Amino acid sequence: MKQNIFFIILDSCRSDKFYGKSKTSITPNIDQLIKKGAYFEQTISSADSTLLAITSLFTGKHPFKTGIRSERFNKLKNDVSTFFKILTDNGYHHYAYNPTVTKTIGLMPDFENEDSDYDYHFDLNDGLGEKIIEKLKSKLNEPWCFYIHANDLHFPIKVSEKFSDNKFGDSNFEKQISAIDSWIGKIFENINLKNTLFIITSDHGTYIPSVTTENGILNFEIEGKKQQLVSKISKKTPSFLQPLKTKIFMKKEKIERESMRKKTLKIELKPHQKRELLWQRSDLDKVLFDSNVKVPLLIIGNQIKENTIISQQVRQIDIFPTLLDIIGVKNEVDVDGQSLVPLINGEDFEELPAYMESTPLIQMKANEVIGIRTSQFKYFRDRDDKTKRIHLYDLKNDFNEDYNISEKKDIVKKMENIIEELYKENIEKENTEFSEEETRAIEEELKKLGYD
Amino acid sequence: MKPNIVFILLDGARWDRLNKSQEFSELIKEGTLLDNVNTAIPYTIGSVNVTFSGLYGKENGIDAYYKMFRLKKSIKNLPEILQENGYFTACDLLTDKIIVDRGFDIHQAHNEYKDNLLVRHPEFIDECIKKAEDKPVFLFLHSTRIHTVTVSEILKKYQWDDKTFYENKEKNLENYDKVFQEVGQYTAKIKEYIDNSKLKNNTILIFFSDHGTGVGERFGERNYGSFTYEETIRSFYLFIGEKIKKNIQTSNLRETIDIMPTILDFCEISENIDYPGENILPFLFGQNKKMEDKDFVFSETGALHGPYPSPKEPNVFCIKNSKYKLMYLKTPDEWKFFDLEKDPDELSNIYDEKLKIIEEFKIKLLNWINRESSIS
Repeated sequence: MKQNIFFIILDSCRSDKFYGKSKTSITPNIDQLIKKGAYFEQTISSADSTLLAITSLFTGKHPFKTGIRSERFNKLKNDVSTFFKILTDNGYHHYAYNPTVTKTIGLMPDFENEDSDYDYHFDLNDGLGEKIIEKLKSKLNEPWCFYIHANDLHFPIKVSEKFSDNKFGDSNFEKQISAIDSWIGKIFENINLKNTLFIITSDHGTYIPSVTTENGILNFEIEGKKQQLVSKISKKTPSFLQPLKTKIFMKKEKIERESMRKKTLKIELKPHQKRELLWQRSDLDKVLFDSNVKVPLLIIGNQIKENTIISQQVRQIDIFPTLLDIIGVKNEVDVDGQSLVPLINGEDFEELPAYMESTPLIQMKANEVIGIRTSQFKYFRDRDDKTKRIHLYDLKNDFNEDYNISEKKDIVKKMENIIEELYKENIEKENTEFSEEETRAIEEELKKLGYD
Repeated sequence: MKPNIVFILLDGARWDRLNKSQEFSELIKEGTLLDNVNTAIPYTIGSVNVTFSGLYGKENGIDAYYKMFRLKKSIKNLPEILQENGYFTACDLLTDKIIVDRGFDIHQAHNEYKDNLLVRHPEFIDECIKKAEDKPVFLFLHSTRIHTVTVSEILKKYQWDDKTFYENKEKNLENYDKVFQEVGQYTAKIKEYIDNSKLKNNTILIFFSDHGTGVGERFGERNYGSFTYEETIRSFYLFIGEKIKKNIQTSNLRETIDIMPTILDFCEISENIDYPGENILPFLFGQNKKMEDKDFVFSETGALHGPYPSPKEPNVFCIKNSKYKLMYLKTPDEWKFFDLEKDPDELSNIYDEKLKIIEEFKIKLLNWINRESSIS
């Protein structure tokens, strides 16, 4: 019998707040789980927001090959297959608790539980955790893939009373991780590891507007419950008032951020601390710092060696081929990722550069960037013009990405060559290659048109 | 309130047979007819996507039959732009792959063999008016009768190299005209229906063809898509509306890429995109008395069948102006040059006469073929 798969995405969860020295939350369950499986310390997301990232994750492809760029262009390319589809073809049953927005892009399968969609702000603590446990206790058709996308860490964050004490973390974000940990523990009690593969990861990271300075903690986090109420009211704005709403919102943002900026002037802060406090993922000038693209990845299963901590860089696009490899399903789909099983087993494994993209904004044109990350360097630049907004960081000596060393032209050139090779390969494929699946779809269409 | 826009595609309609339908001839009197509109790609999927993206195939991603699913993600189609600007958008197509569903509130297809469009399309118009509520409407109706008969009476009966088809050119043309008369009745019905509906006022109706249809003029062209001769690349656009000049007909050379900027101007929508086409609205409104010929226009194709099939990339290209045409067949590496004024049927290839203009055309055409797409 094939293994079941329990796959949980903790939206916006950062790698450094899930495991490691800079974590201030209390996570006894996560700590135990890490000891039970393989934890990847340097997993790099393909993008800084949900739709691009999960599309890459579940197609195993770089974002520019999937057809998804933003909510407006919301369909997966016809010739791109998915992790879920391969599971379906191999007899898997799908269950999920998944925010409605991610169901619109043609990525998700048909889930067998009717309550699979939920509103964006339905946290584990709001009842999602109990629903998951209830579902796990019920008789699910095997083999199953149970997919959870939890938004507890997506701003605005609502921390429950139980975890509001400062001992649970330096920020609301970290307190919420403590809360999530308690649910992870309860959920895990209902997982039979003998026949289930258990995966925790995230789609992307986020800024946490709370930093520790010599004078204490400086925290610009917004109260989550109030923010959610404003957001709910805002969603009901008639479409003709949207431009006005955007204008007012931008103005308000500007005033608030200016006030925050003034507060930071009095304190000596490193560039990365300023970013955490003052920047947002939705800013017009996009960037690809580790805060937003370095995510946790934990895989636990009966074939996974316990207490395996892997520090080598891996990519979000590697998850798809890795999981298929573990459950013994042959992957016949063209993916950019590679199976991490040899790495888990301690074999020699080539580290490949991670390609990343920023996500376009919906209402206005953002200054987008694309980039490459290796264990040594981070490089990103303007999406349309390789001579603009160039960023280069030496990750070995400057892991906080404080000092832009883009004057090192030879390294910039090397990183640029990696991007060019990836794009060239794609252009050549675009022009000349048609996958079997696409060819079948084209020929079916031509037949319909009477051109067989 | 922005104007309603109704595009009615008469799939495969030839510009030179329009007068074979009395009904359509009557419609022509009600608007402005452009009967020398060069289609960039003489088959439906390619042509429609050029019209609705305002971009050639290389730029929009669909320059071959096999690239039908590859409309670039960065492209904003006309329906998407209109939807963003408050329009209710709907289409009823031959198949749902003719144009992607991006930007459509209703994106549907009919069964060309079973559905009666004389009934279906008026009902669809009603449905759209109802669902649009107070929004302006963008409708795209696909009349597929010529396609249906071409498939069932020609493609299913003759192989591309069956000489009996090419030997019966006159009979084929006669059959074609009969089908076009049916199409003419359809156009009159739709026009009448719209005139009696809520769309009567503040609406522009655009009857157009995506490509012509060969009836056996040259060996290898059973229908369309094999070459870039006039019978397949010359199409027409008939505009009818309150502000559109009536009973005007022009044979000045235009291109299907001109439609996008024209419609955007008509709807007073400004997009920050440098479209290659030219806005012809001033002519349609009678502000410019004369329509100018375009200096050059381009077409390309890659056939599914015929002597040089190339479904994965274009392999036949041409450049033309109002007087001459240069055609390049990449697969046999052959050039053809025609004097369209003296030889409108393109029967005499005068490439070997080495006219000075041939070189000029050649450079322009090769530059166009080898251009880098500015859109990723």
